[in-house]
Amino acid sequence: MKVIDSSESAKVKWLKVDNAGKIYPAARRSDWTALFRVSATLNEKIYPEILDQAQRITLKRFPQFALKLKSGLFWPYLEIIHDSPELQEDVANPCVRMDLSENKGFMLRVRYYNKTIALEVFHVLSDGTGGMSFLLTMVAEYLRLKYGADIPRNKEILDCTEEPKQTEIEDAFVRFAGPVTRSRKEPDSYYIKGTREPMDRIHVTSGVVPVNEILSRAKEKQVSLTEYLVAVMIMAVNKIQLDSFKGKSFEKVRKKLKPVKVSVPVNLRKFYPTNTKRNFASYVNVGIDPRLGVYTFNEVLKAVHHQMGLEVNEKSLNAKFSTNVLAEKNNLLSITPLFIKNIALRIVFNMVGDRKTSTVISNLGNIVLPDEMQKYVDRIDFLVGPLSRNRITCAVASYKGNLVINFIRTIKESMLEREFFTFLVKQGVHVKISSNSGY
Amino acid sequence: MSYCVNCGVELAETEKKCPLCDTEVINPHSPWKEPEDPPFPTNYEVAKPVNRGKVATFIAILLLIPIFVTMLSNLIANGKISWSLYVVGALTLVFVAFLFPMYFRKFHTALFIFIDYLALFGYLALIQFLAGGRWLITIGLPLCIASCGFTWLFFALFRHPKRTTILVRIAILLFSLGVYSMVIELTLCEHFGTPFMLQWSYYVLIPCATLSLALLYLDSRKDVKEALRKRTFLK
Repeated sequence: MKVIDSSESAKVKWLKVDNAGKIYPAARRSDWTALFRVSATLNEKIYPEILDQAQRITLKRFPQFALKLKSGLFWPYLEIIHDSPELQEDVANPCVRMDLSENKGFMLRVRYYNKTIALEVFHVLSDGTGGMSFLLTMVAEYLRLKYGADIPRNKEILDCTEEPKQTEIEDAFVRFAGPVTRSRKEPDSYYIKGTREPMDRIHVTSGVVPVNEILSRAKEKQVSLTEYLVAVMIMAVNKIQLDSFKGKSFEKVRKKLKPVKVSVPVNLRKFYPTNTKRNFASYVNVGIDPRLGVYTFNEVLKAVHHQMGLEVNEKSLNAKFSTNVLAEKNNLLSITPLFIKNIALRIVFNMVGDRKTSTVISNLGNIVLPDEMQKYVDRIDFLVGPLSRNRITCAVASYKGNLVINFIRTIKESMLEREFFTFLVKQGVHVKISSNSGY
Repeated sequence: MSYCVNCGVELAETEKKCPLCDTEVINPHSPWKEPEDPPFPTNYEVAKPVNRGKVATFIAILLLIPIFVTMLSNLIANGKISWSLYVVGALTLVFVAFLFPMYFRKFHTALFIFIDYLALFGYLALIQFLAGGRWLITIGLPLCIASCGFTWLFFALFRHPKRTTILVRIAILLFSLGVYSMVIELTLCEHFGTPFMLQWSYYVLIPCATLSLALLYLDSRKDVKEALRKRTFLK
């Protein structure tokens, strides 16, 4: 394994698309881009001029975000843009498809509204953790410029007076991939159908839950917070699946039922010594097979807990991402011209893509900010844009004792959110709901 | 501070109705006001609708290449445009069948089928014009109309599968297949001036009609279906 000196600085002119990012340029459609969004709400109105300055400074420190997607002969690549994107006013439909021909070719957009600073990123560039690090650094710079706040820098909130580091821009998948692979075969899952909205209508439903309340429920059941949320989600999706048969008895519909699985992204930085700000996440798909019988909540919790235990460890995850890295290194695939590769990747994506899971819950974890910064920041949100087939996603982040659960949906029906949040209410958890469509 | 009476969740002050179930918030103590700071802005980013028409135009332009090449070869070899018109006609047919629907956002089954057969009729007219003969009106037209009707029926029956049972749909299709063969034979009779006598289409019509009647009967009789199931089950 190549060893990278953590202080080694990097000059970026162009980069290869990282292993996880390779699928997105091929899979994107004119009405869909794989996006995610992180945002911070401050306790005061945002000043766009200062934010624009902060954005420029931050982009200099994060050259891996100032990139344009280009096509090579065999692979797409990313070229540095010596400029900064237009600062945009926020809109009511976050994560709406990104047109890469706009915005100078940038694959991110920085938006502001009232007290909120938001960053939306095309997944080719980075994952939630990388995006959050960019956002927090930008907010820290904003606060420094606005209030002269002296915020201590760390691995998340980077010091913008330093040069970019090699370890922050590396493709960690390639560095840590092992020789052993594993099969990706899985049966297709149930997915929630519904009335499709026009492509620019995106519903956001946020539920704010006190972390300690939900954490104590999870502890009671001896599972982690993520496991608890995943189990609630599985219960909700499965109820929707059963309800879709309109009152027919379980025995009658049982063989028609499809597995209910939730994709849970896993941050690989926890397992490997890297501070890359590019993609470095894998996922585990956990769930139940409802054909086997009616599951109680406790049974689902148990299933989720043990499946996560089996899957979320360095060895399993390594075999999983090594499969992709080795596929990329395949000689035959490498010498295939890009346009053929794109067609092939698109076909594979349409066949596999997000068919294996019913929805996704991405948990960015508990975000702790230095005291000097925390006093200015009231709330942090994380949103995962709609997937290719699954039009409802869920993203979670906790900050200052509140867990913010954000659902994004591009179908009319809000049944999943309803099942999910009312389930929590029935467990005695207080939920406060807001949305982008209530006014 | 309002709660949804239906879902039990607390609702932010900005919510006029519950985002989860659309139940209106009625709280006499704090009636809903236009929010000063809604959590999201109210203006939307408008995403332009997908324009597949551009792709269709691009492919259509590519189709012009073989057209020009064949016309040029025709012109050089024969000094005039003659046989290359077959290629032009065929590629126009390809355009109408595959590329034309891409200019529409919805798939209008009946319209597209009609236009496809219209184009086919045009192509047949071109062939008659180039090759001579007098068969377009007497054979080409009736067969185009019959085939158009049959294709439309096929799509209509199987596009909305829940309207009738599969047995009824197969019965209708079988019967119309018999009628279709009859139309073919009558058209040929008319063209060749032979008396209106059915000779071979009986062999198609009678089994098709019998089978479809049998299927309709089967569909109407629950007990027969049950008996058949009882006697023919495999596992």
